[in-house]
Amino acid sequence: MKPLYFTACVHPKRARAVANQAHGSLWPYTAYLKSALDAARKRESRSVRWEPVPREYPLRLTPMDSLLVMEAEGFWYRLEGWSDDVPDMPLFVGEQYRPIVPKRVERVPSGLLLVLDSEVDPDEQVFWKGSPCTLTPTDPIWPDTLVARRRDGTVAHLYQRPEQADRIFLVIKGCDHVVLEDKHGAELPHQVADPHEGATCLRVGREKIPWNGQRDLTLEKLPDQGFFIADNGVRWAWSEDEGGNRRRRGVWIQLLPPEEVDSEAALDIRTAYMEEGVREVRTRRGNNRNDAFEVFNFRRDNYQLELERLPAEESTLFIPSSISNLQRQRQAIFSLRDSPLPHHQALLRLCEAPNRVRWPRCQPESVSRWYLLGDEHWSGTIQQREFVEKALGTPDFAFLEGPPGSGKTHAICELVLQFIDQGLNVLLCSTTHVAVDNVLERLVGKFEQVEAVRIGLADRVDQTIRDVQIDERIAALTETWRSAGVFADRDDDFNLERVAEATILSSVNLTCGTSTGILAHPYIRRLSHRRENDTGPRWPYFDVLIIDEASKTTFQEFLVPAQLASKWIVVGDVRQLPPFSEPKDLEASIAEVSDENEAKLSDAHQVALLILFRLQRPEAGFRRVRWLIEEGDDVLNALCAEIEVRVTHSDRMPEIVRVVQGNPTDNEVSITDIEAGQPVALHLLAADWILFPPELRDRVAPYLPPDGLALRDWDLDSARAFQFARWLDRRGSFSKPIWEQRRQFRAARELASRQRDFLREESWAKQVSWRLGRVHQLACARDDGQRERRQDEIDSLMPAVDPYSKWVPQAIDAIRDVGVRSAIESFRIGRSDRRVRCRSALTEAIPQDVWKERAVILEFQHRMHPDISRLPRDQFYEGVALRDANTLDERDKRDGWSFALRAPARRVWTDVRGHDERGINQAEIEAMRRWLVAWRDYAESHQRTDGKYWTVACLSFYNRQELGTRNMLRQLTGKARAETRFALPNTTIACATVDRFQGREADFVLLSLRNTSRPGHMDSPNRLNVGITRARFLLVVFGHRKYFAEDCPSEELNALADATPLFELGSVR
Amino acid sequence: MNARLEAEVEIRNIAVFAELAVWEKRPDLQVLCVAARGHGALEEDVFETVLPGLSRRARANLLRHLRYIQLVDRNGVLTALGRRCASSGEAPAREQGVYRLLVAFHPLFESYVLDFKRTPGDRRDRDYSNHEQLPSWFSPNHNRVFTSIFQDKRFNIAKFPAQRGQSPVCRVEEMTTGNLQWDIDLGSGSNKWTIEGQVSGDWGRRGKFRSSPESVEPSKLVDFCADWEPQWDEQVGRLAIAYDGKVGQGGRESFLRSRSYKNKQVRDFGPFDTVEVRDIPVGPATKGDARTWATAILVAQAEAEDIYMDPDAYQSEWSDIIEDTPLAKWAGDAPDPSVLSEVNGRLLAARTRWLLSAGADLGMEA
Repeated sequence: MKPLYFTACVHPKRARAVANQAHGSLWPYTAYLKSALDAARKRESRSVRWEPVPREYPLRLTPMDSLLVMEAEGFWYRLEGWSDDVPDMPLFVGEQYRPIVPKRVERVPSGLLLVLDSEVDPDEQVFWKGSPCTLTPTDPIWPDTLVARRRDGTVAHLYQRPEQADRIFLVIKGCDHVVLEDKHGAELPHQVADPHEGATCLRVGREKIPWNGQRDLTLEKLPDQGFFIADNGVRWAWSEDEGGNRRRRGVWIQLLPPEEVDSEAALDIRTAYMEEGVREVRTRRGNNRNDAFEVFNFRRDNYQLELERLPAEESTLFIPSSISNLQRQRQAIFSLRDSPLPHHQALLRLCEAPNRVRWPRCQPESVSRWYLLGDEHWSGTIQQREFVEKALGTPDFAFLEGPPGSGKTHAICELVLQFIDQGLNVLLCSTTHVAVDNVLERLVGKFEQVEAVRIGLADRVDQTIRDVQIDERIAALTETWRSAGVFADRDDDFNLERVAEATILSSVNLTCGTSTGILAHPYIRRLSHRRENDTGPRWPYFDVLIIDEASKTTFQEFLVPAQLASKWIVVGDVRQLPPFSEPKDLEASIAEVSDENEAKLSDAHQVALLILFRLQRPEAGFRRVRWLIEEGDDVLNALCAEIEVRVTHSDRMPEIVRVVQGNPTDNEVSITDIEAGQPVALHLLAADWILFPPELRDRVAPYLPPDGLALRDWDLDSARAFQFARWLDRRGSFSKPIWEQRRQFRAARELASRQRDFLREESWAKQVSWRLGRVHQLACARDDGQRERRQDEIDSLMPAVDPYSKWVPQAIDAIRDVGVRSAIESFRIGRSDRRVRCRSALTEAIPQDVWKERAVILEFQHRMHPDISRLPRDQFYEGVALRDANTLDERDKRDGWSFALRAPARRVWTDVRGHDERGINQAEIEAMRRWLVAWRDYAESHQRTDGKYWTVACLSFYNRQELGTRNMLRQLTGKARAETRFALPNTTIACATVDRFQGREADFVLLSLRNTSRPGHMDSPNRLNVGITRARFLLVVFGHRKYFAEDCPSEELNALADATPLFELGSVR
Repeated sequence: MNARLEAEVEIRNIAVFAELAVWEKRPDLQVLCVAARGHGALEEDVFETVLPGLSRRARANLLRHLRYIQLVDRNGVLTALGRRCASSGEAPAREQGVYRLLVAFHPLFESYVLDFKRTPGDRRDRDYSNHEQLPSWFSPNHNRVFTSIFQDKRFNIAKFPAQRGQSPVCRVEEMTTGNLQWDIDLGSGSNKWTIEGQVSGDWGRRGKFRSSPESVEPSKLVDFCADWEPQWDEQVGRLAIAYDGKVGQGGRESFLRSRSYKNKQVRDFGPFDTVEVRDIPVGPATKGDARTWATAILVAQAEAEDIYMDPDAYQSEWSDIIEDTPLAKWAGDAPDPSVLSEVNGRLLAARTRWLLSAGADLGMEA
């Protein structure tokens, strides 16, 4: 039925061509996902150790007092020395003698206090009753006496919080409704505030608990007294929260870091357990239910899981392979390939041949009323507006590229409001919870037209918008219905929750979730009940999909929610980190690489290519040692064929001789000739590599040159073994050592052992896959050398013989596109190589003119101090983006920042001559600790002006270093169990790797580079960009200055070291 | 009087890209539709009573959703679909794609979709040549709700989307036939029709089916009998016939007859292979028919009772036979028993003649 689908989508004359093109363009995706699924089915995550978490007490807080706020009206001035009566006439101001009638006049000892409706410029002349006078601005003066009167006339107990510049908080004991009066009984205007407003912590006895107003609180012990007092003065009663019937309670366990952490890993393996898709962990393989533990909940910050019951002591846990995400992605690709719907036309356009496709014009739609972008004098507002207008007018796609802190979320919020005004139903997705919740936080409760639902586990959703989480909404609605007796007459199988869910989904206009979490949306769940290849009818439930952080989303991930919408807004930054792709998926896809007819590169050929690649390298002693290669005939055939083809193009081919049973051809010697003492046996002595199959090993062994190094562990008869062993020992060390990375081999035995280990542990696919990843990481690097080296290596790993040479390189490049490129990167940047089998917008990028019509780049950044943004602006954005916005003016003063003001800049370098030992640079951690101690001293006496906590982030590029930092933070903060969140006075501290911290920011960032003699994966410009663009006020880089400035091969890291002034801790104090 | 009309109908398996709505349980929308029925129109303030707990915006969105799925019109007034939702508790959930539709065709209902199957795109299917225009008799009507014969589902077809300027195309994959049965109560006009048959191939394991009963607007069935019988007397609601000799044993006579016809065209409702009309009221076409008919009844009763009739009883029996029957108008006085020797060409037995005439004869002797 595919033709009928396509005929409904595109003109019947083009249907066949478009279908064929879609098939070709999406083929790499289907192939990749098939391999990834196969790999995932075989794979299980690495197991982790665990320990129980001591019992915790969930509490529910209820305010015992109410909080009022009085705001100062008008502009307050002192009129000094005025001793006359108060004139009954206006003041006359300025050259125009503008009349201003004072709202209020009070006599004070020094003169008069005036409250005016409008502001008086200090330079303006003021006359009152004909006399010139001078008005001095002053803070509001609040009434001496305030009375809070209940409705019944009684007076409520009231006390005042310290005044702020233009408002005053008043705590009313008890939660009565009161009227506020002055001492004369005149009613004073006021507003009722949220009881948690302005509060940052709760006190109970001497204990102080950081708090942001959430009504649910979990403590390790019950408080000694019946209420807490927030630091805004409001008392909060607590009760133990049993969670009602709708919440199951399990036991919490702490996942422990593995004893051996890969020193190069950028992410903690426990992160895999903290995903919404993880519903079960196991202690053993197999199907025994007793070994399976349902996951109720998780705490990502602490790597804790809530399980249905406690696993056996000393057991380890692993996640059974979850393939549902990959299945949904594959189903989405199949849907577009085989059963597109009319609203998928634009998605099909992405697959069409660039020379055939016709993109419709995009006409921006003007906006008559701006909700959030009303003030255009703020930097970047014009561009944000331009994006909103393009997004409203586009018939298909709109794109927003925004560097870090450039106001993407702000623009998204405005766009959502505009879409809602048009009566559209919006779906918002992002990779991280933070990004989704940030949008919701700014819209929910603030704009009454927004009716939102947040898909995802309740505990993953930020407290401030928990009320819109789908389960919470269902619970609230069913509760209302039950108490109102709605549906009370229905029978027992009537599922009230299901009805409420349907009602909510039909009544919302904004649906939000993470890319993983959104899979739990009932509309997507419906599709997931179908078989993977069942791509039958479905419905565009949403008018528009806004996908945030599209630089971390692959095209196939994007397509899952995209198929439910008919317009797509893509937001991201191609200069930030690409999607996290499971290296094993990439590897599996490469191992299974096949052409469109499903012909594969044989396993034997892959082994041959790996041997050829490895043994040709100087670190394997090419032409300095002789290798004895014992492999099956299929591998040897492939190896010989490859060498034969390559020898004409390269002089770096080994001299080979192959020992065969039957009649020899070129480069072959018959075993019978050797045994017969024929002169051809001398070929063995001339060869670099001697090839023979296992079945001839015993026969050929007596004639092999004794200096041959075997690629396999041999179990020869003792005499022969002695012969080879003796030679290895006698040969002893090489005259000149052979180097591999930083390791040197002086003895032949060591070298042989190393190559054997390599071939045992490595595979051709693995070698190709990590190089592909590296090439992609280095795509934007200024120095091409590294990338070109890796690309050359990939090229030499490719087969040279037909028919493989015709399709394998193309297929490998296609896999790279699918596995490591993000959706926005695919749309934005064409592939630079020539090896594209089926050209489309997915390989060539969306044509420039089409892109320009639909895309906006936000040029201004509102996050970083100008000292911090300068380097990334020049290095990564060619000076055109990341320009400093005027919102940064006076920010220090506004927020009350005064730490390390003596530093020469806000991005400084603390030179640490430490070294990396098993993945941890302890010296850098110690230097970080010293900075944090200084910060602690500072923060104790310096609160943020807005009353919120300062945020500090301790970042590293490596998981191992993160764990080391975590240990230091545990000691420093006394939080022995904390994993990623810590606290110091007036400060919250996050400990993370750069990869994990993307999308977040902190006032003060401490960034440890760890490495001291190699760049590692820090040479990825995107990763470095993310690392150095997280700080708002201050970024301190810890690293070996000399290495990074002078010896490091990465230009970007050199620039960082060069452009970051040194600053030592002593000067902070 | 009722009729059963039967016809063989074509059933086609049509694959087409359609926008279809499958009806699913929506008690929340049902209460809203019930409220709309009660209030005349659905307004946002009704929500708070029947479906409390929703914000103002949520109520507005839900109302918009009801308009979108056409349960209420622009003014919030219940549509036909809305009335259906109010009574059944089901509401349409839309979807789009290629469906295989089992479609029966007959002028009685034009097209009737017996069942639907969602059909994915098969990547190996590259045949763009076997498309044909959708039959003209098969057009979508979102107000018409079908009941699937093999699934417990209601569904309606909103449209057959196609590219601008293009007619929808389809694939007609196979054909079979079914039997249409239409039962009509010709008195009240109430009627129902169903289609029975058997579907082969991969449609379903339960190949035999019978569709849910559907009906035609009763008012369209007025004067239906006159179409088949010119002798139908609309005024008296009776068919005038010559006496057909079908007086039952004992002289029972219902004045109802059944008729069957072959290959009848039934007004706009198309051709039917057989029409069987049961319990047609009948009466004599002529005076002679009436007398013969009444006499035949009299004779049959006399033979059954087997007693001698005196002249009073004879007269009274005659009166009873014709009174309040279609015979009353024309039967006249009872025939002279002494000369009654045959009825409708059948010679009476000597005993019968004696039973009828003995009383008179004996009286004369006395």
